[in-house]
Amino acid sequence: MKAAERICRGLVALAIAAAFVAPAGATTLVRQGLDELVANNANVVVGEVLAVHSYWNEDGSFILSDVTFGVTETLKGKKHRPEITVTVMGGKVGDLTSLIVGGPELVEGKAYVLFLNREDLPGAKAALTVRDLSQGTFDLAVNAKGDLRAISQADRQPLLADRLGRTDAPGGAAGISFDAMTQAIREIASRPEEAN
Amino acid sequence: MNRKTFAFATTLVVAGLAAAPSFAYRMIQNTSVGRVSAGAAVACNAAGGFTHWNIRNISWYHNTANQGSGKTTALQNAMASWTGVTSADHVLTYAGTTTAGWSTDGRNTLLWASGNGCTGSCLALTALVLQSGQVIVETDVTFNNNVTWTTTGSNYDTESVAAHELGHALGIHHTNLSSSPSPTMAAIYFGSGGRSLETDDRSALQCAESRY
Repeated sequence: MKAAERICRGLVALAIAAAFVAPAGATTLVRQGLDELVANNANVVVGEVLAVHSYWNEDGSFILSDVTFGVTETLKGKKHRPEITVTVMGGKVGDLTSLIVGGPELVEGKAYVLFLNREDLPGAKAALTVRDLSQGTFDLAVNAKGDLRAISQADRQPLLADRLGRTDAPGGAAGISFDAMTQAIREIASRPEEAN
Repeated sequence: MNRKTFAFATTLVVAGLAAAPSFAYRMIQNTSVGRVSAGAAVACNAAGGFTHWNIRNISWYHNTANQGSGKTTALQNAMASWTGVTSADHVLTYAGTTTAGWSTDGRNTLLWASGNGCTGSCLALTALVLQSGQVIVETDVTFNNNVTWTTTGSNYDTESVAAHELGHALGIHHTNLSSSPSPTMAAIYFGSGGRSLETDDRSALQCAESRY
C-alpha cells in the first residue's frame, strides 16, 4: 500500500475515534518543545501502526507491548527498515490490562509522528521506545481546512513549565502543520550536536 | 484519499472536539481491546463506565530506596486527603515499607527509580492494572529519581504530586475545570497548592463511589 494511502486510512480511523471520545492521558511531565524532543531522541519517524502485540515480560513482572510500526518517513536518525518494532509499557494479556496513565496511545491503523529512543523498560533493556510518553507521540489529523496537522498527545497533560515558562504542548490543540513540523525537525536534527 | 473522504473525516474530527463536557472532573476509561491505551477522559455518566475499585480500603506500600527516604509523612498526608473526602468511603492506608518495585505483583507500591519508563521529561508515572469490567486491582506509582523531590513545598513537592497521582490511582483523570483555586486533578502542576483537594476533586471520588 502506498505510504500516503496508509496515512490517510489512519486519519479516517482517527476521525471516527475522535467523534466518540476525546483522546487524553495523564501523569506529571515537564514540557518538551520540538527542540528538546529532537535533541533527546535518536529517531523521529512518521508512519502507521500495523499491529500491536502485548505480552508478559521475561520475568513475568510487567505487561509490555510490541508495536509494529510501518515507517513512511524518517525525519531523524538512521533510516529504518519499512517496519520497526517499538516497545512500550502496558497492554492487555488475557483478562488483565496494564494501563500506563500518560503513556503513548498507539492504535492499530492510525498514523503518528513518533520520537523514539533506546531506554530500559521492565524486563527489556535498551528497548526502542517512546521515551517522552504522550509528549513523544503526535497524532496525524486533518483539520477543517483540509490541512494535515500533527497534534501532540500531551495536549491535555499536566505539563510543568519549560525553561521559557511554556506549559502548552507544541502546537496546542490545533497541532502543527505536518509540513512545517517535518521541516523544523529536519532543521533541528541537522544542527551540530553541541548546538542542540 | 479522495475529497469526500477527507470531508467526512474532518466532520467527525470537528464533532468529536465540539462535544461539550457536562462535568468538570473526568474519569479514566479503558474500554478498548487489543491496543496500547493511555486511558480516555470521560464524564461520570459515560456510557462505557470508567476504571474503578471494587473495594473501599486500599493500602499502598512505600519503597524507600533512592529518594523515597524521608517521604513517609508526605505520602501519608496525600493518602489522608483522599480518605478525608466525607462524601465517599474510600480509605487509603499507608501499609509500611517494601522492597517491591515497578511490577505487577498484587501490591500497590510507591517508589523512586530510574528506568521504569519514566525518564527525561517524566516526573512521575502511574500504572493501573485492570481486570474485566475496568476494575482496578493494583496501582503503582514511580517517581523519577533523576529530579529532586522535597517535602518543603519547593519543586518538586512530593505531597502534591503524590496526591495527584493517587487521584489517578483511584480512577480519576484530569479535570476540565480551570478556575481558581485549581483542583489537585488539574492538568497542570502548581506547587504545594496541589496538596489540598478542592470540591471538584471530591466530586470525582464521590462519582466513583456512587456509580460502583
